[in-house]
Amino acid sequence: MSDKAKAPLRLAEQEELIIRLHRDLSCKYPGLKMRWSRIYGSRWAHFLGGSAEVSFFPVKLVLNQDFGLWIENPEVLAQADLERIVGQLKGEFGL
Amino acid sequence: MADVAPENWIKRVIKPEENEKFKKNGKDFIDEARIQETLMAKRSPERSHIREIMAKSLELNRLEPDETAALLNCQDEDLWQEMYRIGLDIKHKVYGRRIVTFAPLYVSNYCVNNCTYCGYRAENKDIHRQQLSMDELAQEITALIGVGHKRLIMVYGEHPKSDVNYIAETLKVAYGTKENNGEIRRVNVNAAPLAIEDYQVLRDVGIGTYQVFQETYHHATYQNVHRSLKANYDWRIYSLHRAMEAGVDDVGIGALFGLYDWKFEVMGLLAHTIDLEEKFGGVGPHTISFPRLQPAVNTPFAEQSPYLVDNDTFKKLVTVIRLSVPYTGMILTARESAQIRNDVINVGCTQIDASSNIGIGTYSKEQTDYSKQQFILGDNRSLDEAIRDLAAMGYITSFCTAGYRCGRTGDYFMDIAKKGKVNNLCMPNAILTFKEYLLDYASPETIKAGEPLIEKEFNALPNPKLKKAVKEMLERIEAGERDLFL
Repeated sequence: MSDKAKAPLRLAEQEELIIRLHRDLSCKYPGLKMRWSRIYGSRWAHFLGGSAEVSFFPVKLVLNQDFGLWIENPEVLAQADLERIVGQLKGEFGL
Repeated sequence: MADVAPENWIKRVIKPEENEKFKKNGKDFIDEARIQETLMAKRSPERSHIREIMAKSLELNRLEPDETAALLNCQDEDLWQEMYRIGLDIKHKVYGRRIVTFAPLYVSNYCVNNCTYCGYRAENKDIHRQQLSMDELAQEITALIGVGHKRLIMVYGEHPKSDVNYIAETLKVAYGTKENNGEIRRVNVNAAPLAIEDYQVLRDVGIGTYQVFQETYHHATYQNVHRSLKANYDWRIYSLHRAMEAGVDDVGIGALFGLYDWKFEVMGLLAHTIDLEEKFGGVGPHTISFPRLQPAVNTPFAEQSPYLVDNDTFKKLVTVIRLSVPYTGMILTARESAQIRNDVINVGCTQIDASSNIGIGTYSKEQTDYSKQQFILGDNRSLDEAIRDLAAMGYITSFCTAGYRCGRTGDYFMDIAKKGKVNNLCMPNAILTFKEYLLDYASPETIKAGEPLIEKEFNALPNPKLKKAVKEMLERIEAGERDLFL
């Protein structure tokens, strides 16, 4: 990130970013299950991803006021990898 | 809230161009001739065919119209008894032995329409008109929270006084009202069809499910019983398509049984489900409702319709809906008597309302006022009594609202529901919310009936790691924490 604060992304840009991140993270961490949600107040509406195997203990990340992420199977990641992903998302969304 | 004369407002509501993309060759998806032909072709189904269809339902596959028609035409009482059992098996497979409970909250009974069967019709001068102010609404919600409710279905007449901006404000009040340990965690809405941009307003304030009932799928009957705005069949039948297009991805359909032939209406509900699934990547209705026409103040039509449905037929039509769309929630309301509900719930219903009062502003006053009601209720049990009765039947009452707060909506919800996976989360969350209820609101008798159920369902949880997590959460709830969910 540059020192200059990033301009907020428009919704369509955020959606494109999520689609790209989902693809990139899926390639880098095969088997990783992610669900992205669009946040409307208390409602988290499904946006992308997910698998038929429901997870009891997902990691929940609020990316910004518009989007959130559920990592359904964080146990497949080493702690360092999980932290790396969170760090990357922080950079992209300004968590 | 639009400060505009109803006759001017009406002219601006309907935007027919928003429906065009959903039509096929300019026509809607209710092909009456085809429905009648299908019912006729399947008028004498073989026993073996009925059993094949039951097996398909039990595998959680949605039925095709010819299969539903065969079930509707079954004349064999023994087979009906089998269908009742299969309906319950399906429900347990998808959702478990739990019933979701909610309260209806009528917010405004001003209405521009003149539906012959409805007590709120504009021409009915025997109805006292009222619209809740935000303060009055907060009092109503406080009263509902005070008996333990966590879910609402808020109901509005179609009128400029209750336009989308008013509805959005009422949702904010509902979500913002707290009382001791309690709060409303999911607000569903039953209101008139909206334009796409209006649905987006409600989406943005966190609406749960948007319900629009077609009332009758039969075009000529629809025209006969509706006047004013609601007479536009297309605007209503594509209302939930527009809601889905706007990003409200939980929608509820329904038919008012008693307006036209019950078999036709079940076929209509199935056609509606299929069209939504086809247009929205497999996502059909989140819930199906099947209210029966009930008496209303100064509304003789409601008692004179030639299509009124008797109790036995009602149980059958609910069963066929259960088998036809195995993975969808089914709502059995307090229009029905407690006796009917206790019977019909066992063919596969998933949600009921309780402690219902459908007058405007009557929860906080603890009164019944027929002059403010759309119709007369059949079941006046308190929430505590209804929960105790359900417990006696072996059902745990769920106040769970986790799904839509965890992104389990739309196609993701449908995917796990169709695969029978949603129960893995439903039952733990039912246990947790039921525990909250017993601690905060239940009578000693209901606690006595409910605690063994929690123990039974907890012991039946299949996964040791899950069991450990639920046990820890139950301990935290006993220690005073609230709103824990998976």
